[in-house]
Amino acid sequence: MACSSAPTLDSRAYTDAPVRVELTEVPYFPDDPYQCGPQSLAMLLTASGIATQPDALVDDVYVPGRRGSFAAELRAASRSLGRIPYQLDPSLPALVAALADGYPVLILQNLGLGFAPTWHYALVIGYDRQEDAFLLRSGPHERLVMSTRHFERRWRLGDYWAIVALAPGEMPGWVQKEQYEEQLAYLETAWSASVESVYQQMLSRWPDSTSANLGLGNIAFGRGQLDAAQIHYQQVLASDGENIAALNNLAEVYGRMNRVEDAFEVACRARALAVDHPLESAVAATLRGLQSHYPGHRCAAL
Amino acid sequence: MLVRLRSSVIRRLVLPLVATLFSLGTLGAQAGIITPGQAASAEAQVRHLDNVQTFLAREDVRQNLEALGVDPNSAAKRAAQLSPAELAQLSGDIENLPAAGGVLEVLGILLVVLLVLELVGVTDIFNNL
Repeated sequence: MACSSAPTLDSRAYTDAPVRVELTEVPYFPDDPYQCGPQSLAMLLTASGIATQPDALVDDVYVPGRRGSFAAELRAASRSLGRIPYQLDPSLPALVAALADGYPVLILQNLGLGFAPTWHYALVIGYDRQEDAFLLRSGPHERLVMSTRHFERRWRLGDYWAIVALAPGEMPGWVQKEQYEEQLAYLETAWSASVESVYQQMLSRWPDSTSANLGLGNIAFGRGQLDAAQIHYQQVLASDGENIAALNNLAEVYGRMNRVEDAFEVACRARALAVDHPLESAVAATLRGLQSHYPGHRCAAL
Repeated sequence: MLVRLRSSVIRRLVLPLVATLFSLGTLGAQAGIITPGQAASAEAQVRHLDNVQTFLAREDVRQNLEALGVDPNSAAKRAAQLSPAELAQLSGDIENLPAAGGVLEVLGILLVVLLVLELVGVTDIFNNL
């Protein structure tokens, strides 16, 4: 075997990715010193339809004492502006797939050395498999061409951290359920107008999605459609029989249906499961509500 | 020593109590239907941090940010919008957590080494400043 060569874009499995991608419509904002965090995030969000500027994001993500920004805060700021910061799988093929689908990718790089890091955020806007290079909006460079070998090294030293911004209803093929659901949870208020269609979309892709069934059940409940709500909550329980939220909400539905025995049965199951759980007080409140409507019923002692 | 002791008393006794009072205060709002957001964040808390830990971590992160020069009002708001997983990252010791800004803060011999590495193309620091 010959000595191993550095990875190139063509030597890996890229299935159907185009030879060349450049997302030319992604805006470029010049950077202020130290502020590649607000700069990259502003480019990412603006490309996703949230018009903003680096200066407007400084208060949300810049840390003066570190003259930089933490990755966790870039994600939080993105959510608070209504975009899911979806973290990509840590691999070049995942990055290429996102770019091929039209999503610019915010990455963390270490431009220095492992023991003396120089951290930097940049926005990847394309690649060229023939040139074996990536295209970036990075610091002072509106269009930086970086060889795959250099790019890969700097990104690897940044632990392959990479996010894309997903708008409501955007659910590309490579999106995975758990991470999408977790991020969506913190976005609900921002997306309240469109959340129902997002849940429906999730359900058609992941029929056993807990968030989607719970969300659609709640929407149905809010409209007084008790049968539909019951079906959604039962779907959650079919895949996770100990889901406290679904048991609790189903108890509310049965309560409204005057199915008293059923209501107490699921409420008491929820209470037994919720001991020392963050939802304990919510479940206790549901049970108290049922008891005030239907006095005389009790759960067996815990 | 006394200060340490007091802060540990605060952590063990007072803050959990405050956290409990907080959750009692919001009982009314929580009665009835549990939203997917509540359910997911409860699950995330169970996985990453429990209720009281979340409360403490948020306070910890707020103090960390303030100590690093973030305006107190912004620090509180920023700590409030972090998920339990993100809180776990930013609470405690964040000295070595990457905070990217594109600043070079090395001196002396290391600078010379970096200049050489830059010239032979290993690093790419100066190009991005």
